[in-house]
Amino acid sequence: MPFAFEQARNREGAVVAIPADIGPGSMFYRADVLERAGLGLKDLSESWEAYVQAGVQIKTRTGAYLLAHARYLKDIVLFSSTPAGQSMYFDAQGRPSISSPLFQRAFELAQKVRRLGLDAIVDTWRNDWSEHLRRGKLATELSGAWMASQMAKSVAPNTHGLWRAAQLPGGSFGGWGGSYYAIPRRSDPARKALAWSLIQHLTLSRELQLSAFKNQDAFPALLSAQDDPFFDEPVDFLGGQRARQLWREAARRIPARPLHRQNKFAEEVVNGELDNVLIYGKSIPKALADAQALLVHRATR
Amino acid sequence: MMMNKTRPSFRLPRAWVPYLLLSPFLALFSIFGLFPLLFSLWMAFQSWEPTAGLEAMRFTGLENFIFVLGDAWFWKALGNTLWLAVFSGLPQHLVALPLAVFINRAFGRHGHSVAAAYFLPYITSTVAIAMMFTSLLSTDYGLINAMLKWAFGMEAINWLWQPQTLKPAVAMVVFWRYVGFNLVLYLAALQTIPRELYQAAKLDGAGSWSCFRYITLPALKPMMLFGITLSIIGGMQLFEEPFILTNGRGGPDQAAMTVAIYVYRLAFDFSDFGAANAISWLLFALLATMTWLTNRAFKDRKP
Repeated sequence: MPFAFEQARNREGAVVAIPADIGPGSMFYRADVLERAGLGLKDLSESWEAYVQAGVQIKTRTGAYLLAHARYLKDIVLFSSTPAGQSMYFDAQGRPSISSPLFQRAFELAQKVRRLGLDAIVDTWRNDWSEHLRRGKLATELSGAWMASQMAKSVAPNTHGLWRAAQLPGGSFGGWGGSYYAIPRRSDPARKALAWSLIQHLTLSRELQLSAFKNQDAFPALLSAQDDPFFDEPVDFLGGQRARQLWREAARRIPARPLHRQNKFAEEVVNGELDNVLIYGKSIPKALADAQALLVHRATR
Repeated sequence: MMMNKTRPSFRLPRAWVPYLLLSPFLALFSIFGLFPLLFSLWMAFQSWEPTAGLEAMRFTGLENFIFVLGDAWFWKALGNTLWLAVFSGLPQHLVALPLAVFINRAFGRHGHSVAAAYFLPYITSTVAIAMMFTSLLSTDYGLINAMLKWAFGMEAINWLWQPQTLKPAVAMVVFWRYVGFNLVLYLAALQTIPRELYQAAKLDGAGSWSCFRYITLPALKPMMLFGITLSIIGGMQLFEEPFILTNGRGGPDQAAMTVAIYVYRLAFDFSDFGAANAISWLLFALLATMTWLTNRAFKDRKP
């Protein structure tokens, strides 16, 4: 998977870890809720703006929320709209780039969702999040492909057959997690060689990659594992949809995103300012300018 | 006597025996107690990104402390911590003390079995408690909102996602957890007060308020000092409850980000071990000062 491989480069450009599995992003939606709202998939997936607009109709006609949290919308809009090869928070010179129009748009969408009461304001994996899913109170869930089996097996098995998968709105592509193997630089050379052969086995064997997909829902990072007939089989939980073909296509179009050293910090700064916008009604340009200033200040550390 | 002479003696000098017996503790303490402490002090004066390996450590003098003292998030975290310490700590004592007096009077020597019920939350895992409260505090499915609606017809409150309700919610969980601990402390102290004192006071015509004011309270003073000191230390180091209630982030607008959570996030989320250790030592200094002040406040004033 090119994007997963690119992601594993360090600052000097050397690949330091080998991708084992990936989490191609997908929009899961409740077909029954959409139908009750009188909407088709196209109404949601045309663009992020259309997605939010459709949420209004979903809320008024069915009482269901569009998604779990406005912050997640900001995250994926930002991730998928930042040009490939570029970090989300920093430009090529390592300078913070928070005040770009991309951030403005992502924040505006999140703000609109909150103002219209379209997000349930729950965190993924919390009890009330899964209760919302079980009761059909969340019309969509933006997540990695693996979420289908999570819902089927533990989170909301009672919604079997009600969900469908689609590409993210507006031709967006994003990744939700994944795994890598790496070897500590200072380990014993003999063990290093053993570890390396194990890693090769786990990441380059088509058979093992496929069995990890079939048994653990670990979407294979190995391209040659992705043309197995298993990808064309229907997924029961998604009403027999051949969703794996969709995820395979998405996987190939996920942009690589280099991570800056202060990525986690930048994320917290941006989330903090999003809170200010959503909770206290702070103006978006002011919030973004403050985030930018804080990051510039911090960059000297 | 003969035996002793023939066998090569491998006997330790008497003076060494205590040290030998202490050595397992000393060894464990130096490895798991003293070493991390000193290492943390060392790191507070270094700039270090742990992923770059140990050799990437660089001495920076007081830079971490200067950075932290100018860091708005540190002051915010300290403010949050103080707020939570006061609003979870104070009620613990204001409730535990009268409750202990009541239980002691109503149940006498059998008070302990009643206190055990209050003590249960203290021995329950914090994670289980916090998970339970996230469910109770859920906006749409929580029991607390359901009760408020049933009793007062109130709109659902999003407890954990509004800064102004998150803090009281965390304080409530902490209060609920530790009130029983303080109750047991006060109950134990109450049972050491000699009954004769109360009998004598009654003979002198003292009412129950006077008994409480002039016998019970002064006798409880040492235990109050102990309990309040523990509450201050525990309150200032508060971590698990807000950490789990806010999914490890500190909540919307970082409203429940305590100093301990900020230290954790600085080190493990933002990879800034130097600043994290500097804060730890600042927190220690603050705690030492507060404990000293509490001690002074409770000291018997001698004319």
